[in-house]
Amino acid sequence: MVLVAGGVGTGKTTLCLEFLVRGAERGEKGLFISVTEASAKLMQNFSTFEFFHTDLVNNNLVTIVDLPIVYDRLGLNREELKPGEVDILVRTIQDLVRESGARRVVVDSLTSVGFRVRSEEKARDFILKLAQAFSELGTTSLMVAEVGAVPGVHSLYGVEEAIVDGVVMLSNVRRRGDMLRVLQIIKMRGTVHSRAQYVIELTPIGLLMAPFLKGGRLETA
Amino acid sequence: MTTGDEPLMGIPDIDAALSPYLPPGCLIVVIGTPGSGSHLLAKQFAQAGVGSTPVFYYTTAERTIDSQDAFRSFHWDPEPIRFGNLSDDYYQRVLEPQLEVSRIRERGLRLDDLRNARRAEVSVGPYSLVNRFLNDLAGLDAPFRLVLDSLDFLLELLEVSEVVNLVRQIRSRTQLLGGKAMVTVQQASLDNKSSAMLEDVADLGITLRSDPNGATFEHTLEVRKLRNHPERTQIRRLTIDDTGFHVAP
Repeated sequence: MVLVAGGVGTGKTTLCLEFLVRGAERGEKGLFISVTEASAKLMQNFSTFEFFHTDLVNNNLVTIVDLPIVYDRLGLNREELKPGEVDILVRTIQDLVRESGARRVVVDSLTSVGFRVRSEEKARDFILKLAQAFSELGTTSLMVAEVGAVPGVHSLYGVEEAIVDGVVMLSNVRRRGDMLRVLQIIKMRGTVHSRAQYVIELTPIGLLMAPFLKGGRLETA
Repeated sequence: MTTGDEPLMGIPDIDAALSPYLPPGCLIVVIGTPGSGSHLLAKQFAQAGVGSTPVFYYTTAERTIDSQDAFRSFHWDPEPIRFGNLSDDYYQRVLEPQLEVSRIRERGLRLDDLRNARRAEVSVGPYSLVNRFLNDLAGLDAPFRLVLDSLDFLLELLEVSEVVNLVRQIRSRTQLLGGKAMVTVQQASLDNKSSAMLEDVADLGITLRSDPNGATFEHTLEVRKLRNHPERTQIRRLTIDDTGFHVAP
C-alpha cells in the first residue's frame, strides 16, 4: 500500500488513474474507489487523456466505484461512522476488490473517508484494517491523502506513513513565475530508491518525469 | 375561506358550549384513553370543517385507506379531505430502506448493486418526519382545518420537547391564518410533565375516557381547559352511533 500525498492540483488523481490504466494494459484489473468525484464526472475528466479508453471500464478492466453510493447502500449515511460500521465498510471494500478481481486499487481519497470516521483513533483503525485487508488480497494499492504544503508532513492522522509501504509526495513548486508539479518518493519499503525531486508533467499520453534541476529561486506554493 | 361559524367538532351541544369562547385560530389537544374514540373524534372534527375550509388529515395510526373507510362508515365523505400518512412516509423513507440495508449487509454488497446507481439517487441525510410535516404546514396560506392523529408515533421517535415544539408550530400557524387544528395523543404516552406541556400549548384541552359501566363502556368527554375560561370546563357523557359522537341525553 502506497500513500500518494499532496495538495490540491498536484496530480494525485491522474497519477493514480495512470497506475490503473498501465496495470490494465498488463492484464491486471483495477478498482478506483472515488469518494469526492462522481464516477460519471471522473470518466468525463479521464476522457481528456489519450492513455485512457472507456473500453477499459466497459470491459471491466478498470472498475470505478462511488463510495457515497456504497455508504448509502450500507446505511452509513450518518455524518459519523460508528466503530462497527468501520468494520462493515472495510469488509465491503474487501468484497468489492475480490469480486472485481482487481490487482490494483486506488482509494481517492483516504482523507475524505477519514472525515466520516471523525476521530483520529477511528481513522487510524480504519487505515490499519484497510491495509490488512488489501494485504490479504495481495493487491497493490494507492491511497490518496490530501495534505497541505507543510514540510515533512505526509499524512493527516500521523499514522498513514507508518502503516503504508511507500509514500509518494506530490507538491507544487513556484520557480521564476512558473508553477511546477514535483514528485518525490519519501519512502518505499524494501527498495533502494532515489529521494530526489522530479518535475512531472501531466500530458495526454501520461505522466512525464524529468529531474528537477537546481537553480533559480525556489518557493514552495 | 372560513365562514367563522363552522362547527367546532361536529358535536352540536359541545360546539355550542365552547365555540363562542375560542379564538378564530385555535389548537385542540385531545388526550385519550384506549378505546375512548380519539381517532373517531379526530375524524368527526375533520369532517365538521368540510365545505368551510380546506381540511388536512394527517394520520400516524392507520393506513390512509382505512382512515377513509372509517369516514365512510360514519357517512362522512372523505373525498374533500386531503390525507397525509406520516407512518407510511416513515416506512417508505426509513424502515423499508433499513430492510434493504440489512439484506445487503447480510449478503454483502456486490458491484451490480452499484453499477446503475447515480450519486443523485443517494439519499441526502436522515429523513425527518418533523421537517416533512412542517414543510406541509409552512405551505398553508389560508384558513384551514388540520388534524394530526396522533402524536403517539412521534413520541416513539422523537424527544418530547421536539413533539411539543411541533405542536407549537401548528398552533402558531392556526393563529396566523385563522385555522383550527386538533392533535390527539394517548394518555399512556405522556408523563405528567409532557401532558402539562401539551395542555399549556392548547387553547382547548380535552380528555376522552372510556370506563366500564356494567356490561358496557361509558364514554365521557372532559373539557379540562378552555383558555381564559376556566368556568367552562365540564364533563359530558357521550354516545356513539353511525353518525359519530353525540352528547348523551
